[in-house]
Amino acid sequence: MTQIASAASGDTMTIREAALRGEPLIDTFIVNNHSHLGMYYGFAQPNPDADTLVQTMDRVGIDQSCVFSSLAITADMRTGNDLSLEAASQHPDRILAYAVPDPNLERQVRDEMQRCIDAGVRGIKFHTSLHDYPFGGPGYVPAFELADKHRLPLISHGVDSPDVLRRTARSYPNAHFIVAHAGAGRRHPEFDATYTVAIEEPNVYLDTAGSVAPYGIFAQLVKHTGAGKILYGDDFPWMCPTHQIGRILLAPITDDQKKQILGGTMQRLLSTRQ
Amino acid sequence: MREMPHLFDANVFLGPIFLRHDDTPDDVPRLLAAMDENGISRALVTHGLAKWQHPAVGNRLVIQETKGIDRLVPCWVVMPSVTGELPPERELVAQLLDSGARAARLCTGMNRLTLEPFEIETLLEALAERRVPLFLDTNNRHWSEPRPWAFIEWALRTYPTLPLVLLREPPANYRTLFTLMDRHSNLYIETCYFQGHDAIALGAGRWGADRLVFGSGLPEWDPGMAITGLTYASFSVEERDMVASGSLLRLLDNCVV
Ligand SMILES: [Zn+2]
Repeated sequence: MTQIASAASGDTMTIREAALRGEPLIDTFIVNNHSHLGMYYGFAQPNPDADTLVQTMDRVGIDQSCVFSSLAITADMRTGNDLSLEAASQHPDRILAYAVPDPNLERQVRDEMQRCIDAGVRGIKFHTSLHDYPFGGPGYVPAFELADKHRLPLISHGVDSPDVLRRTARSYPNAHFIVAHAGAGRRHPEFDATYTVAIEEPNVYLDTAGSVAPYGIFAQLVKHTGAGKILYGDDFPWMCPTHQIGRILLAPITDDQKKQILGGTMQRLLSTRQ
Repeated sequence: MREMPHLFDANVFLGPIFLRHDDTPDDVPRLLAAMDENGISRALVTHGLAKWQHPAVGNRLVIQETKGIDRLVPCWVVMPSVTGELPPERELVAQLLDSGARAARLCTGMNRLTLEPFEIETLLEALAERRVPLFLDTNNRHWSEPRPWAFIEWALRTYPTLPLVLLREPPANYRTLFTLMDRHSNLYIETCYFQGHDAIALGAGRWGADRLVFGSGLPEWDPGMAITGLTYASFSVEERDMVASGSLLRLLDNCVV
């Protein structure tokens, strides 16, 4: 098992030991591929702002968080995307803004996505269930095309079906497709066709954000798909990064697998941008 | 470098549980090994069969199986006695304490309890007399499932000497929960699912760390998130240690034996 250095003493300790002590994981590059920002009508989310997020990231040792504001996935795509861009400009290299399309505003999506790409977004996020719109519907096509052209990560909450996911991933081979929440693990991964698509398609990945964690299920998923298909996400501020990261830090997998999941793979996906 | 906390886990099952798999610890040696792997030193344990078969079976088993093992403190599942399934309430609570158990779990949905006062008041009165902490288990998986708030408010108000601990309290109920935590010092939160942004530290600051009780849900739930939610919370080591073990120790020590 690889070791990480401790800031305080110079001693080495495993990721598990650091997690049990609450020491920041300073020698592991960690990217949270799934987080939101801002207030939400549905329930009270304490301190949902970028400044406090960065404080929490510092405490755990999370280097970067990809953000898509809660407003963008609900009532107002444009103002919501501006919130994400503003947070990114206030915290360069720590907060990475993503663009969210509202596919119900079909005539505005292409211009809005282009505007966000010109402003420097690092990826795209869909929320098919809150926007009540199918992943394979025409309102999302401009976003697929731009993700493909600029070689961006595209994370979606909802992908219609494993077949639609596979077809879309093949149609836009330069985009990196991330299935939100699927990497938290599900019972009997061997029977789940979404995981088969992730194993077989080179540009499909799974995001770990998820409130629920049945015992041992995450390690079963890592074994089934390989660590290289799984990306750390915490869904801040719907959930807390301090909790969400524990699924990985204390899992019975190797430190090399943990490092891949925590940021190794996501760093590569973010680096292909053109 | 920070020391590891001494984790006394308030929410653990011993023995077979529903929907377990080959890797699920389902006896004492495997449970102790899983606790070691996750840095958990002690646990308050309910028997799986007390929840998933019947309290009359599981309560007996948890006493037998934890005998002589200091790391495992037994907790009984309780319910009304009117059907003759369990002894009359005062007797049940006396037996619970005599057997060495120091806490009770109420499995509301699993045991099809309505939680109407006429159904439950004799039981709560008996527990309150001996200050046996009552852990409320609604068997919720997700954050969006309903909680029996009217019952919780009534129980806190009617039995102020009864400590009530909400197991697996989700992050989506703060608009309701905060009022009850502000008003009733006998209400406690078990932290495994309390994953609003830094909510454990926020709660410790607002109500005191002794109102929060570390629990994991092992072996039904993965303890990883519950543990790092505590170890990376933005509070002092003293507050962390109170949540990690101090709060639960106080509750158990407070029983009138
Ligand atoms: Zn989300």
